[in-house]
Amino acid sequence: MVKVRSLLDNLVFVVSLLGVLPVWLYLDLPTQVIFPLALLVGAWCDRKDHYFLSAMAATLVSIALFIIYALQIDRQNFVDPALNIGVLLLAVRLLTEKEGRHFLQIFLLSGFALAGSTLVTLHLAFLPLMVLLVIGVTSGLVLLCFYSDDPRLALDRKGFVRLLKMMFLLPSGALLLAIFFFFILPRTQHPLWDFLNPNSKTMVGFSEEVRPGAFSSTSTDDTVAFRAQAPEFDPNDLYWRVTVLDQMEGATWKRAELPSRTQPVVIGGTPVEVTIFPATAQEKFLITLDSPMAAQGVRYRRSSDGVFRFYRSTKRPKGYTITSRLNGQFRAERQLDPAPYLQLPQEISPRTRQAAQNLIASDLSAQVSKIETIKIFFRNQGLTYATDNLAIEGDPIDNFLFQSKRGYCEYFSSAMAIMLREVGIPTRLVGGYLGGTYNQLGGYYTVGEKNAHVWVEVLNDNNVWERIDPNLYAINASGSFLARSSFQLPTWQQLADAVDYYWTQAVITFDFARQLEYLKKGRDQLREWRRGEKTSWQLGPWFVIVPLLILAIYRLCKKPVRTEEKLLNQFRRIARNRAESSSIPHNIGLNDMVRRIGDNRAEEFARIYGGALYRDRTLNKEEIGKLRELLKGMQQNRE
Amino acid sequence: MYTMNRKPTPINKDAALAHQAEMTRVIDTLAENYLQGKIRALKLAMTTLLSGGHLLLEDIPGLGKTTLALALSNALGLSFGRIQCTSDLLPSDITGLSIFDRNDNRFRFVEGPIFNNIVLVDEINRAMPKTQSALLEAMEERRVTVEGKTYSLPQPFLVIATQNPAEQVGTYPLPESQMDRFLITTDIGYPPEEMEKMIIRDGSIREDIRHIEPLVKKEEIEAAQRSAHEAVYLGDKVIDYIYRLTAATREHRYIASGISTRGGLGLAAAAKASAFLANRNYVVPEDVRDVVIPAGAHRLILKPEQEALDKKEVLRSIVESVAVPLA
Repeated sequence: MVKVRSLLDNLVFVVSLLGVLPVWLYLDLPTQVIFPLALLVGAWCDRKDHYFLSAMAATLVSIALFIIYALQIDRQNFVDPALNIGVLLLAVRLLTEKEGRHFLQIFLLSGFALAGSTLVTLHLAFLPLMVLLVIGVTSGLVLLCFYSDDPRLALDRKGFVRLLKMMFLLPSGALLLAIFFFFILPRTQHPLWDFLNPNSKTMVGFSEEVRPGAFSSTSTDDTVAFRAQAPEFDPNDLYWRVTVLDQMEGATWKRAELPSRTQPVVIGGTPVEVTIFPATAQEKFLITLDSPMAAQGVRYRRSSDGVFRFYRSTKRPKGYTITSRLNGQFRAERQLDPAPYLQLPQEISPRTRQAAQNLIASDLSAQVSKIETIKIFFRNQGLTYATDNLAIEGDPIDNFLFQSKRGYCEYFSSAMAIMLREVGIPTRLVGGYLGGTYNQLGGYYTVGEKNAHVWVEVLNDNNVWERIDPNLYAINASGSFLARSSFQLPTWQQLADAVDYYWTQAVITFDFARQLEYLKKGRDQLREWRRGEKTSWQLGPWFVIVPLLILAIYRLCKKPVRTEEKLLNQFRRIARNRAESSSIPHNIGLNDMVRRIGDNRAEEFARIYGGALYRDRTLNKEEIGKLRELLKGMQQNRE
Repeated sequence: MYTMNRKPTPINKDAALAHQAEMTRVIDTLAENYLQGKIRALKLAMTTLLSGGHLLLEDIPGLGKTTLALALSNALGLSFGRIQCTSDLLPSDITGLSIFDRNDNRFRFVEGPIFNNIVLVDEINRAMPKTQSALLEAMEERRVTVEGKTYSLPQPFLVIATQNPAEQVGTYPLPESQMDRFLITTDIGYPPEEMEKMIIRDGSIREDIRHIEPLVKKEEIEAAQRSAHEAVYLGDKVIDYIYRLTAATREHRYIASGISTRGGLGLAAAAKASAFLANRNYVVPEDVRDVVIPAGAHRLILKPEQEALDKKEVLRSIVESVAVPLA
């Protein structure tokens, strides 16, 4: 026997846990401690039926907590206090004795907590938790109906199983409807609750300025910067171009977008198409694959140095497709003024300048070009790629080249660019990302903020901007830096990442524009279909596949209906109509039904059908035909 | 008796029923001309005869129990014997005994009333247990052993015992284990109003019954018995139905002991005979349902605290709870 009350108590425990779990990390420390304690003590109290907190005291505590947190609320800080209040009220409620409406309050507060979690995080875990919570709450409501009718009700095994079936039927219907409405209900173009989250995420890893020596070490976290749907390439060719830095101010490289009338021209390389899905909203620049030619799915402006800017910044991450030439190069404009690309600040260390000048004057320079000379210098200098123990005193570039010889991409690229400019070669820095982890399951690259990278472009003798990655000349390049830019994840991580990717794709970025897009697509296809043209249906097959799938599942779940059963059901229906009763009890036999119908045909039916059934053989074709005829006759007779 | 590897019944699903028409004519003739309003009891008696069992009529005196037995034996052209039970009735009064024949100078066995095709045992609960058990043994074995010599009883053999449920003083009610030996137990019931008035007006028909001409021959009855046993097909669905019925009686909360395997076997035999009478060579669940109360109710042993309940009603509620196999 299962007591409904103990079922309800367990359900309350699970539902509160499900609701608070996703926000727990974001709660204040006291709340973080109080809630699990309240949960455990509450469960103990339910078991012993002894409560420490009286109803009156609970009300007073609730009011006090509410006031404490309500005082903290202002326009900038709304979400955190609200979440804490909700969770604390839930904790108080868990500690008190529970009757009808208290269960409802707990369900409601748990729902609020889960819904509130979307204001602080958009984690994928929301979906399974929501599904479980819906199941829990609907089951709880069903149980409450029973409970309010008879608090001491206990169910036997059979009754419990039947109840379980009903409890799962309701939420599955609700969830199906939720999916339906998710696609149908119009979205707002901007998040409605956005004002609740004024502190937008700051970008880590990639930055719009390059200043070696600003930090003694760079942090490398696992934040995903963007994902790119593309075939698999050599990871060493994957230079994701975001911005070009062409001006030095002090020790800082900045972008001064030099005036230009012409559009960039890309030569060489293999044409590729990649679709980029940034993980967070992009403010200014599109992420492209070097060397980009065009983008689709977004309005943008293109600079002559191959940097793509958003026409208007978006608040939501938005996907777009880039057409590029992998390993292609930008041809410089015909009337390019080299002066801005040679600009150098005053505070360059004499040692660096001297080294550059010496290189040009050396014998080596007579044999190979200036660019090659600089490359060879870097290769021979014994530089180490490192992200910690970096020099920040004095001139970081000088220190990097001649003393510590440790640095990361910003050091390498900055140093090389300075030396190249020093010897009169137009140079610029390109900021972006290098490499990425290819997900075989999803067919896309995941590029993290730790892949952020800076490299150098020089104008070579052919009047083409040539990409040089000085990081490759580090003595430990193959070990540390290249290894970091590309590595394979284990399968389960790939799978988890793929799920996260599709979650972002299908749910987080699903907005009004996407809805309109689908609507337009559907309309266009309908129009073309009306014109009788052969169209390549993109959504079309789904309209067929999905119902077929549902039908197939239904068929699989349902026992196959045999011809005998079909005939019998029809016969029963006729008997039911004749008797004008809503249903026929299961203890009514075939001949009893014949008596109800009172028809020679019914008697004949029973004779043939029973003759086969009770003689352990199946109906043959002739008999089936005859039975169908009889049924038809009986039906017509009625009408 | 109930071994699993017994020979399966011959599977001839379309066997013809021998002398079916004659047997139904007996019922129709009797019901129309002599035993008005007793068609149900008559049918059950015929069912019992065809399935080779015995019948227990439980009713107050004067409702035509004897008339029924007499009419049946005459119409069937069978010999009829009657035993009026009293507390001093001895086993030998039933089976017969050896008496010394002085002419031949040896013992001669004189057959008792049980050596008849149809034996009416009136008020069986008045006989003392020793006599009862001798009778029941003879019913079961279909032979009598007297002084070390075994005598076979005539075929066909049907015992119709009667018992007055209202009378308690000086009786030895049959224990449940003995009740189990009867295939079918039924009451006769009062005839309908019109019918009873007619009987009152026309007087007793006992005299008329004596002049009923036999409607069938003995061989035909035996052939019909064989036919009901062998030619009527009992399908798996119906076997399952019978099993579920008996199983349900064993699990019922009012019942201490449900229908036994012998009871299930009897139920199947009675259902077959019922199908035979309906001129059908296979059993349908309705056949089972028609005989389950008369063939099953007397086999139930209710729990002590539920003894006031009517066994028939309890069984009826069980039958209603068991689904009829339809597909």
